[in-house]
Amino acid sequence: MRTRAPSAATVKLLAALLQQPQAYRYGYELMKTTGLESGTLYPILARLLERNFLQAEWRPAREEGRPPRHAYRLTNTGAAYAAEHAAPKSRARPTKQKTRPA
Amino acid sequence: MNRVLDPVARLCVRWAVAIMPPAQSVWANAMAAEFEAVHAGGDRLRFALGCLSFAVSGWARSRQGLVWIGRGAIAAGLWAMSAIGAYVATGLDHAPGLILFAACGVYSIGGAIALCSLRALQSYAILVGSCVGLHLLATTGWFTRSYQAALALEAGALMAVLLVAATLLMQAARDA
Repeated sequence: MRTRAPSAATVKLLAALLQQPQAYRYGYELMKTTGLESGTLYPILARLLERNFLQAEWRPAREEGRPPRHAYRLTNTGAAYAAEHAAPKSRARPTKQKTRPA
Repeated sequence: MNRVLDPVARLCVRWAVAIMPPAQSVWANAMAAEFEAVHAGGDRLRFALGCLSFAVSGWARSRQGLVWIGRGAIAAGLWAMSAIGAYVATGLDHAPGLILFAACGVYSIGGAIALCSLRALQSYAILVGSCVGLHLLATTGWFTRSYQAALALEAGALMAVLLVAATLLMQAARDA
């Protein structure tokens, strides 16, 4: 089956997650990094989790009295997908070597 | 944050949690927990509105949401038909036509109220039956003008279709 290319917002999120693929990140932190609104970010997180590109877990809040927070990180499959679609690509084109005639 | 906006933001999050379909409840809880970690004033309201939009779109795609939207649309359609019936009736100098359109308006209002308040499937079946019966009676016996007969038949058919759709939607809601 042909898979659709991810949307620009998804690419932004994947790029942000790819910066620290092993670290768990929170929704608000991802919002600030990517500039996405929560109404855009959370549906994307839900889709990525559904496709097993993300791993999620409840982590205790650092501040006392606050509820545990849902945190996300890329799975191996997700990291490969992110690397394929969101890794920064070098824009430098290979230059042709000019050879002088001997 | 503004004393007015913060309660509004909190209310939006609570509403989002309440309407999120059960299959996505983990996301509702995740967003509600994350909301508590958002400190910046303006960000809290923006975050809350985003949660609400996610929840509303999830609800609208759920079976329950579709049923509610269907019911709302049918009720609105019935009210519109009632208004049209009343408008046509005021322009008629033909007594049977006036009675028919007035009855059509009353039935439409009844249908809309029933859709909004009643839950029993039987009430819709009775409503459908009485509407169809009334319109068949009116179109076969009273009308001499063909255009009025056509209008009445159309109104009857439309109303019957709307009410049958309502019955099916209620059935779907009961099965869900």
